[in-house]
Amino acid sequence: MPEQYINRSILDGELFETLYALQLSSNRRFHTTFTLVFISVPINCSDKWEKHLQSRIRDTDIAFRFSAPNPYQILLTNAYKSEAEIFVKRIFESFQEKGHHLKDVGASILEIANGQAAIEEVIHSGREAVSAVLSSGSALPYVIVDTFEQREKIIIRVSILEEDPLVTQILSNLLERAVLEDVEIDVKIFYDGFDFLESDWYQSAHTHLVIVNDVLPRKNGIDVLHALRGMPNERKFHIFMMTRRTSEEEMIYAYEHGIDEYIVKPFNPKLFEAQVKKLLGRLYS
Amino acid sequence: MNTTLFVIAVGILFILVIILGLFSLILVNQLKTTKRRAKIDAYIKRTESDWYLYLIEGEIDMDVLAPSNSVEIEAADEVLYRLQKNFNSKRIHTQAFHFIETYLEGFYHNALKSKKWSIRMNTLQRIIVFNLQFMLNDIEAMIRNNKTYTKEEVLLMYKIIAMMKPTKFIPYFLNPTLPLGEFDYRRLITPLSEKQLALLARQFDEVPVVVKHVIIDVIGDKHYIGLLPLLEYCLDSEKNPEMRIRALKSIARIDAFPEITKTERFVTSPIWEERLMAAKLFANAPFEIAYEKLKILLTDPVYQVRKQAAVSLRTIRTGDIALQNVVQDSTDTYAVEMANEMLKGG
Repeated sequence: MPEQYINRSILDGELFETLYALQLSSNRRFHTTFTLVFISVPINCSDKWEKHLQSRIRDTDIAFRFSAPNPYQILLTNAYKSEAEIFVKRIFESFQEKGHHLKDVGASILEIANGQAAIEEVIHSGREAVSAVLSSGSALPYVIVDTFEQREKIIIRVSILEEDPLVTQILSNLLERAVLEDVEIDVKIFYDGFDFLESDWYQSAHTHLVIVNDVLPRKNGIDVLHALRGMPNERKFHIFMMTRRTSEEEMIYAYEHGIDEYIVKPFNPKLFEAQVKKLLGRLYS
Repeated sequence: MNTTLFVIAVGILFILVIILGLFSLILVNQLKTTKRRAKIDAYIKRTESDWYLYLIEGEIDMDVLAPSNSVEIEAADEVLYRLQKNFNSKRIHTQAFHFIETYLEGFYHNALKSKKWSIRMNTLQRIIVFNLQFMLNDIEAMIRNNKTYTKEEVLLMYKIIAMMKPTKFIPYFLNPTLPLGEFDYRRLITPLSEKQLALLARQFDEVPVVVKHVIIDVIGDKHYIGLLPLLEYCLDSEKNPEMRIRALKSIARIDAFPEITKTERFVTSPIWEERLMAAKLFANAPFEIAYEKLKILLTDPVYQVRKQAAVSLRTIRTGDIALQNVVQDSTDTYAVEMANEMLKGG
């Protein structure tokens, strides 16, 4: 038997809530997806099913045992519903191959991409779907539930630090066009570095894109760069610096001190839009 | 006595009236300017999005932004100028040009004739930035007429000529209406393309010395390797050591190395600046030649020459070993001292 199918433990259902919360937190942070499978089996076959499931779940899956009516819930980490569907089919087919039947057996598959999916809602949906499968008497003993597939919108904060209000308006317009479907941007404009650093706008946990001009009336762009890169959570900042300076030494200095993109004025606005899209795509595709 | 006092009092009153009048005039002008500025700012704020859609996305026609009065014309001019300082693309340039051609041509023609220097200067800047070919005749007329313009204006006019008449600018440069110094020529010649500089270089022997110097410097600054033969030609100048020094410097900047017969005599030149430039230049030479000549320059009586020789030696392949050899084998105290200093990272 392949290593991945060596008998795995089935955990007590009391641990499900904790592990679900951990998985959901990871989902929110890293924008991953996981899938839950709810399986209902007749009580008189539960021993056979328990052994069968133990031999079928993989080392990346975590199975939980509950009391009836849905004794088993399996958490497939980093899996999509398509993978879960193959998994469920394999479980059922291999059970039948052992000479057993699938009477009164049903399953539901829930892909969880939404980082805000509450556990109670998920469990209710999963179990309700299984009941529906059992009562419909359908030939296909499982159903896919898509309620929690839609990822919640990611919010990115954007700060534009530039003295000329006409330029800030253009940049705002460009940013609106650069966003991806699942990403929402929250833009704030500052006309100097001092006001920006005095605000608490950049101190949230959001991913933060900072578009800063090197020359500003109070506290210039380089001061802002040093301040942001000196923060403990500096990795959340993605800094684009706009400048008229073109010497290699100045560019090298800026990159060495934490700039992500060096934008020389005057610049092509569509290129800027593409650079922002590239960054967002890299972070959230 | 009473009459005198009366006259004095009238005089003081008269002066006070004049001062008050002037003050009122200044105040009224200031208020007018402030009001106009507020209208311009309001127009810009109101039309920000339209300018974006027109210039950058090309999603609306320029008719939407057609100015209907002098304030809007001035505001449109300001918007275009501010935006082109920050953003640049073919579309922006084309859209801006079409708009200017349609709605601002008259404004610029008049602005160039303004009595105010600042307005004329701003207009000259716009002509350059937007490449307003339709203003060429105005510029040529300004150069021809007898009016006195400032040097800043004259330089901008010549810059425009070079931009719009890329093969016919030389007579203007060489026969300026005002005397021009090296710094002025630098401003004119630096923006020229390599082709334009080559055109100017063809008349090298006829141009003034100050122009010669600038041509030599600009070839080095901009790495116009195609014009290296001109620099080599300058090395043979007998009458002008300044030209030779600048040529050596420019050749070094281009990272080129001419025939050894043209350069080796500078190693023993009586002019220390030439020896200094030679020390720089030999960093680009083949290893054997570089090592031999730079070793000589390491013993130079002038510190800057020795320092440059050591720096150049360091940059060549196995330069550190060469410096170590100098430390071990050389009998010249200066050379050993400089080599040690360079090896220690000085």
